[in-house]
Amino acid sequence: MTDTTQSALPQGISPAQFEAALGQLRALLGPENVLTSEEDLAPYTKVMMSDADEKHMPGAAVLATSVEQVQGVLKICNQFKTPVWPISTGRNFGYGSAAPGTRGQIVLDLKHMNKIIEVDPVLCTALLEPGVTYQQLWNYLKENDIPLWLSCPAPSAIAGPVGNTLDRGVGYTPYGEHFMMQCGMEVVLANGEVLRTGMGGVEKSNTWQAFKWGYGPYLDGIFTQSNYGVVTKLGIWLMPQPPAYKPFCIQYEDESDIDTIVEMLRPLKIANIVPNAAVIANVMWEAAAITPRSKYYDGTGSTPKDVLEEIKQKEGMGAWNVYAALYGTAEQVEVNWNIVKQAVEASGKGKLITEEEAGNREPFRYRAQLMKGDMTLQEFGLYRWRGGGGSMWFAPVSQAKGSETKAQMELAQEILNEYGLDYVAEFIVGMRDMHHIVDVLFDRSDPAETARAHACFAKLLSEFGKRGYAVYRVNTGFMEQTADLYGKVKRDVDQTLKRALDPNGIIAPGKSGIFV
Amino acid sequence: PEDKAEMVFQQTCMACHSTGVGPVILGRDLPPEAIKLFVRHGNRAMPAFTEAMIDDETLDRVAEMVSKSKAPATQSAPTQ
Repeated sequence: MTDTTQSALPQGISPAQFEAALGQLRALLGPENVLTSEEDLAPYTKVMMSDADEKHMPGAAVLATSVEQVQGVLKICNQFKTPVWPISTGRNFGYGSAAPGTRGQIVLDLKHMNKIIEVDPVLCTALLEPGVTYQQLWNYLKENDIPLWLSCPAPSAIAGPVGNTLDRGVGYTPYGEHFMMQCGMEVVLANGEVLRTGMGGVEKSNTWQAFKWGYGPYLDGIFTQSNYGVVTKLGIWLMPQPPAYKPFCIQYEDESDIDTIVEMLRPLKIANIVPNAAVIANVMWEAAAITPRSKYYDGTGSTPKDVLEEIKQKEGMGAWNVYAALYGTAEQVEVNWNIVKQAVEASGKGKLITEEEAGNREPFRYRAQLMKGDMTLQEFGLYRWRGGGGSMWFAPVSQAKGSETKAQMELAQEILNEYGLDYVAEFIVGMRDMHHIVDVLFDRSDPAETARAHACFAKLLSEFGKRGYAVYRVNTGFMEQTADLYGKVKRDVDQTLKRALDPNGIIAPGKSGIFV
Repeated sequence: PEDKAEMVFQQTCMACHSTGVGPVILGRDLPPEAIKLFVRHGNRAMPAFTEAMIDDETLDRVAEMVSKSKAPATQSAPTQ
């Protein structure tokens, strides 16, 4: 075992200072909970970004199991000015995974803080610790026969509600906007104080998970995608299991149909006829769930158009594939199904596919699972489309207008193709917005392709930026460039808050471009 | 499943390795040491798993379980 602490020191920290901090952390947490060997740190260093591993090499990882230990860790960090990078379940693939934003930070791993503190089947809420995974919560609901559904992102089983919500991730059910369905938060501040948001500060309160805002400034948002505190508890709302569930797919032949699709869907979504975070997946995203690219094309560069046509024909896929679902009583579902059918017919395009027609076929099956919050990792098939472990999410926000989604599609395609990469994309449908999710996939074992992916990602950000578009979330290699897109005043305010709440800058320096 | 290793195997490993997302790992006499190395370091498209996610003792048993497994009657074709 080699000790890597010498090679990954936080900026401005001497080896002696770092060793002293580690000594105190060992005394607080027990030596087995302070990881410094190369072997123990290896799993924290696996990233999918185009950035070099060295840039995100942790100085150590520490495991805390209680709020008091988190307080203790922050106290030591303040004393020695050693930064920590908190993670919950640490499955932030394509956004930096479990590795720290900058080299030498100590990963504060909260995976062992994994208590399901409360599930209230009457109010349909849960209060969770950071290490709880969706699978764990799903198992708990089944074992206790609680008829509530989860909403999870595609890495469902191994990811968790706290970490996902704190990066403002999304799912695919009617509760798919996770931060919107979050209620109540407990945060350890850099000075060691424990803040409970919303109704949580009221003595004997029982409405922490019932009413979001509390009184005075509403603070929960400033602890998401930020570095102002370490979240140790999070409340979420859960969806009651509906009596009837009807997932369906609508296939479209042409790339340019995205315009028609979005114009057709928006009114249904705003009127809540289609209540869930539906998706519009393109042919490569759709195909990746079931096959590697090499089955159809083993050349380098972008996948040629005629190959995409072949995939569409042979795999029975559209250029765009909409997945949505209806929820409610059988009567409600039938009424809304007729409205959906009429809307599709009126648009003059699109082939409806029901669950009965799709049977057990992928990718319909995994989509149907995700839209009811069931566990599946089928979508990790994206990572073997080209293979090699390279993946970065380029996720610009778009208006839910057909002309806008078409413009973004064309721009993304043009830039990706310029670098020999593929436009593997889906739109996640909000009421008025779209999360336009592009998986920038590349072979990370190939240095030349990795360099191209890096340049490509930077150009995607800048070219989209010039047209007034910006991403909702980004990997740790591009946080600065993304923060710049949101303007100087925003960055200054972020920094002012940082200086007030964490004057030593010990919590996750660099997260979302925020330094003390 | 009650057993922790069985649970990790079914709910984590098999979620990819029985669905065609990852290569087939059953019935291939894969050495336990190699399995553990892949889990801890990840490998290309496969993510790494920390000790906090799958503890050493459980991983030992999962690796042994996979190593000694027989090929199931039907399984997806290897894809990598």
